[in-house]
Amino acid sequence: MSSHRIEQKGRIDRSQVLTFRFDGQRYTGFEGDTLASALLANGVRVVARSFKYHRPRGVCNAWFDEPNAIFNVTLRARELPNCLATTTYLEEGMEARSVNAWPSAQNDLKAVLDFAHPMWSAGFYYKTFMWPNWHLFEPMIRRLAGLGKVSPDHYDDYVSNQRFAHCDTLVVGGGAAGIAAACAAADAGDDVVLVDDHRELGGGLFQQSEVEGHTPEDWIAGQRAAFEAAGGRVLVQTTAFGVFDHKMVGLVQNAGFGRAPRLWRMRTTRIILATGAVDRLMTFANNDRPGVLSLLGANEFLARYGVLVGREAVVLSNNSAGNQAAAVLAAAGMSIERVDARDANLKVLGSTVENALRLFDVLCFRYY
Amino acid sequence: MKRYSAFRLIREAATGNQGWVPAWRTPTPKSHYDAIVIGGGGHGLATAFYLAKNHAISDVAVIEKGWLGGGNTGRNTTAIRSNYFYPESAALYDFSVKLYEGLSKTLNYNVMFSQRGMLMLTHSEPDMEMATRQFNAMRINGIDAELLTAKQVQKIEPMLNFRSDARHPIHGGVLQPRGGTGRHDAVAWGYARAASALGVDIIQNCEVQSFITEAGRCVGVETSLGPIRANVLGASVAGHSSVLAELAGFELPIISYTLQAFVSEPIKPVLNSVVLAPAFGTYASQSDKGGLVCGGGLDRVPSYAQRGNFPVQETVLSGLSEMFPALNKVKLLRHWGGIVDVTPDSSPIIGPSGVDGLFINCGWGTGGFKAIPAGGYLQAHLMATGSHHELSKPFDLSRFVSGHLIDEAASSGIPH
Ligand SMILES: Cc1cc2nc3c(=O)[nH]c(=O)nc-3n(C[C@H](O)[C@H](O)[C@H](O)COP(=O)(O)OP(=O)(O)OC[C@H]3O[C@@H](n4cnc5c(N)ncnc54)[C@H](O)[C@@H]3O)c2cc1C
Repeated sequence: MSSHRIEQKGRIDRSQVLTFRFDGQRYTGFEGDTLASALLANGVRVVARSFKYHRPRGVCNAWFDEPNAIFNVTLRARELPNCLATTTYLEEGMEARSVNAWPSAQNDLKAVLDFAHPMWSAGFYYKTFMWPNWHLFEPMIRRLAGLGKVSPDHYDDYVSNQRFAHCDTLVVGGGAAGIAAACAAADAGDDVVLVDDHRELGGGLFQQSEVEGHTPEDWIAGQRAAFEAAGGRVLVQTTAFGVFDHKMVGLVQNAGFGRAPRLWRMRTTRIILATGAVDRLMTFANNDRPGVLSLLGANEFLARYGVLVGREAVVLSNNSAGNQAAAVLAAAGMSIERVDARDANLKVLGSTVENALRLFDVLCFRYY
Repeated sequence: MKRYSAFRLIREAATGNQGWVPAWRTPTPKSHYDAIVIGGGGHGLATAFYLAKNHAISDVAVIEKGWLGGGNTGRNTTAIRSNYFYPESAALYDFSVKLYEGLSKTLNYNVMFSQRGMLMLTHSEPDMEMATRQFNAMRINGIDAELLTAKQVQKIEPMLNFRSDARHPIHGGVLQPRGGTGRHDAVAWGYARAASALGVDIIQNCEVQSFITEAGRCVGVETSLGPIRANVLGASVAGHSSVLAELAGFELPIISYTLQAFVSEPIKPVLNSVVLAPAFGTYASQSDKGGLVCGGGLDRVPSYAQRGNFPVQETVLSGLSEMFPALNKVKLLRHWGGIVDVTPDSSPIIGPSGVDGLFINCGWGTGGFKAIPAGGYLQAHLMATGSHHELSKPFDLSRFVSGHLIDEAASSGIPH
């Protein structure tokens, strides 16, 4: 389909081709893709504009930690504002629009604001618009701000249903640590609930080629079966969003695009957080350019969706933990130049990012 | 103080933005000041500013245990209005609204006071009668007010639920056109910058731990940075007023509760005013950045924990989606709690604390952001002259002894 897809890789179903649009342009992806992975597979680099300067932005992470790829999405005559492209699973006929860009993210007229960027330094609005009166400027500023547009339509059935539940131990995060903790607690006789916000358990395990002699899929399936046999319950597509008084944990269970999520009030006696880690953005000039991604994001796009985010990459990290991740990408066909941020001059690096991105497709970073 | 202006922005832009300096100085505290203000929220900073500006007392320290505006000033939903019922309150709050109207220019700092209108909904004929009563009171008190039909309400806020199957159909409303919102951080920072320029020392990360008293008079404070003395002291510490009072050896008729607020992801403009629906216990506006800002009632149990509980969140947010069904597809971005200082009559306490040399300004509870300019102005008057300004006299602590309460709880019905 495209040079960004890697055969055999990913949790996608290549037999089911899905058609969708982004900013009016038609693309295809596969069942199991997110909007973001499908766009990356199609080589789409600019997916958004920054809030204030309207600088071009690309997909940067693979899951909830994505700051850029935010779309208004319409499906079955239902439009939802500000959907995160990295957590919105692709469906046939989806129509995605970039937000706060006109007419499109690729060609945004409001990018003229960037030319005068020295005038819009941090907090500039506290220093002006006072004379003759703030009310003269406010309407224009309000229209420039804000991300997605909210349609005035009221969807009658967009109503959350609610569940009240109890357990002894709630495990948040279904990666290796969460699965192990949940199994151990269930084996010890606890009533255990394991929640994960992805569609399936596994967390970062899909990046591994094998787990205890099995493929990650087989290992996860085996653990899940044993866990459920011991009485454990699994909730996927479910995010724990808060711990309230008396250890009541709020859970929100995604019901699919266009349906209101379900709210769970889970009362528990023990909470185990096994929510893994995310890469932190490295600070260097121009680190927001399209093509600059987190290393974790690049690995996830490969492992879950079979998407290689670039053919030639600079991998930048300030620790040795990037090595294995980079090796996985290399094995999938990425040619990699390693840079250790502890030796690199970030100032020089920043100014050469633009050049680097001309020579390489992407720059991946890992920072602890 | 180098003035802020569009011209300055252009000049700085042309020269690489190298000329900006910190908005306020960060001095080390001296051992003695003419006046000490405890609490670096809006009220404390405004007090310091007006001490310097109105009373030429600029040897002042503002002592803040955390960062400026880290209390309720940085946690509130920024509704500004003066639609109160009793003449004393109307006079006080409208004085504040008037100061707000000129504040950006007074401080040379854009506090973005946006007079987009404060709209209170009614849902029935009896509701409408109560609204008319409020409208009449406001008019008698000289405050702008308009009584609206459902059609007029719809014109202001078309997103409201006007469907025939609405659980609480909208009957009409009362509007205060001069009401609106302001930018909360800007109010704190603007006062801080202007006060600092007049010579006020702003001391952050410095906690008042006890009071120094000599011959029955309060002459200073022990802080985490050592003792600091002054001729006169004023405290504006909102939810922690009772804690401070205990240190000073007196009691306040105040109960502290958590009040929560919520902000959604940024969206293009959909709300035009500040809308309050007493039937749902929810009010909302939209910030200039695009987030829906909403709030509701107090958490049910007294607390000093700056975090919220779930039942109140559910009440407020289900109220929001009843009011604006089309907005239930919008996701929440952040929510938080602040500790508010509630008095038995829901009116503030301004005046002598009972301990010589120490004045208090507190009890603003759920609605003191709108009163920051007035609170600071009146507290400065007290500290400088030792006696009440006409406007603050009715709000003296002694009203809880004499029984002259100003019971606004019944008239407002909801915090904001
Ligand atoms: C969620 C919420 C929504 C609100 N909405 C509105 C609204 O829409 N409109 C409105 O008008 N009002 C509203 N309010 C009320 C309003 O925020 C407050 O009344 C107002 O900000 C009080 O200002 P302040 O300066 O007195 O207190 P604060 O801003 O709380 O400042 C007090 C300061 O004192 C400091 N302090 C405390 N103890 C010490 C110590 N021992 N030593 C040194 N420093 C100390 C604290 O750190 C704090 O910074 C709301 C409040 C909350 C919590």
